[in-house]
Amino acid sequence: MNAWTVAAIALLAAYVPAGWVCLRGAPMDRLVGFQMSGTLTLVLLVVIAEAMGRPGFVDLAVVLSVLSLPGGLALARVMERWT
Amino acid sequence: MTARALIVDGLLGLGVAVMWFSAVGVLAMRNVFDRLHYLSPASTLGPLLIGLALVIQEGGKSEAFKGLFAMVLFMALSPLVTHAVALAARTRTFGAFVITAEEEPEEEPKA
Repeated sequence: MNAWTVAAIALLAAYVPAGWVCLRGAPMDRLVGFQMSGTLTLVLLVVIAEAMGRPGFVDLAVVLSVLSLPGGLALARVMERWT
Repeated sequence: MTARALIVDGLLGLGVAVMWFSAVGVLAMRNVFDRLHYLSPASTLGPLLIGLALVIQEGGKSEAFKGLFAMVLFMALSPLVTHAVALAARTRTFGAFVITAEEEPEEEPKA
C-alpha cells in the first residue's frame, strides 16, 4: 500500500462530512455539500489513477472539471428561482 | 526514502489535510455563507498541492500534466460556481437586488 492508496482512502472518508451536509442540511446547504463532494471526486479520480496505475481515470477528472461549471451554474440558477 | 519521495508524500498529505479541513468546515459551519468560505481551500489549494505531487512523482510524463491541467482548470472555474451559489443564497434569503433611488448614481455632467 503506497502513499497514494492511503491518500485515496483518506479522501474517501472525507465524503462522510460532505455527504452529511447533503443529507441533513437546508436546500442551499445541500448544494454546498454537493459542490464539496464534486471537488472531492475530482481529486479522488486523479489520486486513484496514480494509486492503481490507471491513467484513464485522469481523463474522467478533466471531463468532470469542465462539466462542473455548467452543472453548478444551472443548479444555482434553479435554486435562485425556486424558493 | 529519497528527497523526491519525501516532497511527494508531504505535498500529498498536505493536500488531503486541506480537503479534510474543508469538508469538516462545511459540516461545522452554521449558515450557507460560512459554509461557502470553507469550500474555497478545497477547490483551490487542495487540488493544486495534489497536482504538484503528481507532477513531481511522475516527472515529465504527459499523464501527470493532464492531471495538473484538470486541477488548474477546476481551480479557475470553481470560483464562478461558488459566486453563483452565494448569489442564489443571498437572493433566497434577502430577496433580489433592487437599486433604490438614493443608491442610484447621479449622471455625470456633460463637458
